[in-house]
Amino acid sequence: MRPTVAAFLISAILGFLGGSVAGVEAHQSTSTAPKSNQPPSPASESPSKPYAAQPAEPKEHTFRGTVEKVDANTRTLTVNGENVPGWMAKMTMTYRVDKTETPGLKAGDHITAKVYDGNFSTLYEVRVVAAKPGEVNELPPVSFVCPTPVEGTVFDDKPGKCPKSGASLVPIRLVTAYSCLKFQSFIQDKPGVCPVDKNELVPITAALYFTCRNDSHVRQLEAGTCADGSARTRGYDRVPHGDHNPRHGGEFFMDQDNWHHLEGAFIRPNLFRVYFYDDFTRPLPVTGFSATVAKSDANFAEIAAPIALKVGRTKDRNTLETPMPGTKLPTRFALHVKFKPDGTEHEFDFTFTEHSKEPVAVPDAPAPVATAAAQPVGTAPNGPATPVPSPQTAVGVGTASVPLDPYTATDNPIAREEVLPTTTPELLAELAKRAKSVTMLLDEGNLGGVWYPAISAKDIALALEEDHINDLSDAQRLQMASAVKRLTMAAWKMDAAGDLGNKEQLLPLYREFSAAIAEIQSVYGTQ
Amino acid sequence: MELNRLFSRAARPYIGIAVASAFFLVITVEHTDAHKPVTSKYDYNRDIFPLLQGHCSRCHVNGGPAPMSLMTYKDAVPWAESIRDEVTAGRMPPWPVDPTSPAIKGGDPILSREINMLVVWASGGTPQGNLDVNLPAVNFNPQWKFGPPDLKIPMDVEHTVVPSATEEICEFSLPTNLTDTKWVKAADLMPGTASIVRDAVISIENGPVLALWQPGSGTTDAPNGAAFLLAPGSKIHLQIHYKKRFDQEQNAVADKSTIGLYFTDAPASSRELQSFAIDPPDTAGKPSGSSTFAGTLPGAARIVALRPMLDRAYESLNVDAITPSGKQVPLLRLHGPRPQWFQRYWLQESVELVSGCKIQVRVTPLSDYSDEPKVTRRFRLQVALDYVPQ
Repeated sequence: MRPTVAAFLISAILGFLGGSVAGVEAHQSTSTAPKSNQPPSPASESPSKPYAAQPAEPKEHTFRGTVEKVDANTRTLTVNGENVPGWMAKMTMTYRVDKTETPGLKAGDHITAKVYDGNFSTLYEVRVVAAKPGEVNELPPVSFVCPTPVEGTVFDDKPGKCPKSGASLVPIRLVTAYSCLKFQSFIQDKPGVCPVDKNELVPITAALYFTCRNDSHVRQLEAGTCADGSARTRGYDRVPHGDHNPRHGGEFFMDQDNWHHLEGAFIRPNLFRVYFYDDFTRPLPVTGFSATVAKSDANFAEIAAPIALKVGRTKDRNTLETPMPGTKLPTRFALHVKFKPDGTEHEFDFTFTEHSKEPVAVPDAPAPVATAAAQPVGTAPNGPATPVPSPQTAVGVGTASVPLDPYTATDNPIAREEVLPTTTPELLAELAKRAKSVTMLLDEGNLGGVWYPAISAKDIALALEEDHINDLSDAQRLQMASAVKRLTMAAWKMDAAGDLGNKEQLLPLYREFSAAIAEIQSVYGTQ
Repeated sequence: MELNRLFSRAARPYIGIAVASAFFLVITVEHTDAHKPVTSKYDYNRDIFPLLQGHCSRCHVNGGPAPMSLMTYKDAVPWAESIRDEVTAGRMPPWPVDPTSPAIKGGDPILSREINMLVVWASGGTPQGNLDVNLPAVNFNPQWKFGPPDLKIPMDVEHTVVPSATEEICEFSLPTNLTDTKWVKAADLMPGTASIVRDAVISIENGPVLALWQPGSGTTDAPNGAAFLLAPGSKIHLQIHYKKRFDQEQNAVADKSTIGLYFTDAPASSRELQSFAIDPPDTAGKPSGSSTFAGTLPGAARIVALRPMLDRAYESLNVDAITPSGKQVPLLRLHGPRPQWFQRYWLQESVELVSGCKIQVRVTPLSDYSDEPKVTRRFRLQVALDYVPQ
């Protein structure tokens, strides 16, 4: 028998990204969901859960939320659910429904349903209700949450104590906000385009607070007036489990320990890669983790021998992966993960109807408009500016310009980092420009200026290696690793040699640098 | 974009003002710490310590063989510039296997991203980070790589490197006192005084090399079915390269190291590991440009390891087998190998070669030797292959 595990498929992003992840079919571990339409009996649940041994009927709760997506194929609803004290915090999740038909249900509907302790995956007796009048403009209710990390999922609607630590619950207001998928510091109150990578913002659940522009220590739950008479402004903090958006176009799960999260992606041509995250969706190194994956049938019964996953080559060391040769789409995989060498095995089921695709930038996105509410997490409105493309970059990308010295472009270089483009062709184009700049500067004898395009080229190469090798073969990845390493070393050495004005030293380094760039270009040119 | 570089450029116009201000401060303030602008987004406690611990702690730890510890912030900061120079030159960590090489056992390759982090930190003000973080203490704890050896062979007498010497290469002939035949799968060394044992070559006297020992790099054992034959009464030849740390110069420092041998069953084929060496003609390896030299394997062979011994630092060293049909089979790809970091590269997967294969070595010298440290431990350029005859 396969061990059961309470893993929740959470695909909040599906309804918002639309076609970008269209190939991912939402599916929940069959071993988690009750097999009938009845409320779950304790015996049907995982034996590892404490409630499994309790003889009493599971406690019933009332669930409220807004439907974000109806998936008839998988008979699931993606719902932005309100906080259900004692059951689940406010979050967007994909749920099964107790009835196979949900006539008339559509995105945007406000619903209520019954839910039960121990079953976080099924909605019972779903009913459409009218939206509360004026609710859009009202502040969300105050919830109470444990401040201790290990009890971060404990929510209540009244003050109290954390069950384990005994610490007092702290009040917060949970709201839906919108953030960059890969740049977590950018959060604003409405949908839009990420100013950093031009991807669509994704919905997250965040803690709303009010602060003052000239006094970041002010953190209140109510709008009001600051000491200088100005109105308090909104700020947002990320919260545990507030962001379950897959980062790489895959399927996102939360483990039963409420802390480990993972995303499975099936990458062209046939690589199965699992990304691991913590409860804040931050990359989690896979030290001590082990996993196997096996192909499975429509009922998620394994039909092939399990294959061990190996540590991937991603920058955060948060991936395990293995080739799945000969896999035809659609396909299903059963993944077994151990988070500790002596730990229990947890199972997650995946269905892929097509290969996973990295989120892509919105074509011809309009210039981002930073709203008054947009600000980095945990910083005051008068803190460091939200990263925006520098004039230097704005000129460099998509034009024939050649980036040279940064001082003509910015008067405050410390406050910003160069924002790199997000697509492989754009990065390769930028890489070529940097290489051309280095050549030009050397030709001009401007040795002191070489460092900028050289270091910048190194950054582009690192970005390519870290996030743009999914479509490369294993051999090409190794070639990239070799070339990027040589480029990194050459660029830093050019930086030092340029400072000394030593052309004799620079020229051989320039040859290493150019050879590495040519190799990178050849890797992508021969895919 | 590296902020530290931008900052340093932006700051240049103000250096004169800063110098003047600093002079003023010197005469008005009793004491002030030197201060570098902190522009690195990486700090020691969060980002750099884990890297140094992972890649450097086997040597760069108090009591270890390296001349400096990097395992605390205070220890590491004075060496920031050296760290930058060593990692960008590819001298540290000493594992020159290129990612495109056939997989090699052991080793701990540093990633491009990690190199970048170290350099950004080293040249960006070397920030310490959160002072409330208690980093784990890292201690020097030399251990036998494979647990207690099957046979320990200590040096019979202590050897002392006299005060006037800073470096010395010593040869020892050590009896095994074995009365029956043994098959050796690995050899290791436990230095008596780790701080002066810089490297060692462990061989069967008038026989094959059992191990090329380097501090920190550990030992790797031969794959199944491959072992060295140790006849009864054999002696072990131990060559140790002693080198004092700078703080040991002018002192007498003694060592009494111990060899550890690990035995295995006789291979099913009863064939012992053999070596095949390829030497370049006299003109090869000169810094004038790339050169290629080759030799022909004496017969069909299962190649299990390669041992390049170098006369100088090279930009690259590639070894390939050319089969009689003309097919090229890569055996090893090194980028930036240094003569002082010689080691045996055990292939992750043995390579079966038919009789008549040519082994081709291509070396490209470094383009610039001006920053290379003076190295006394050099060899005649040679690449040896360890193989099991088929």
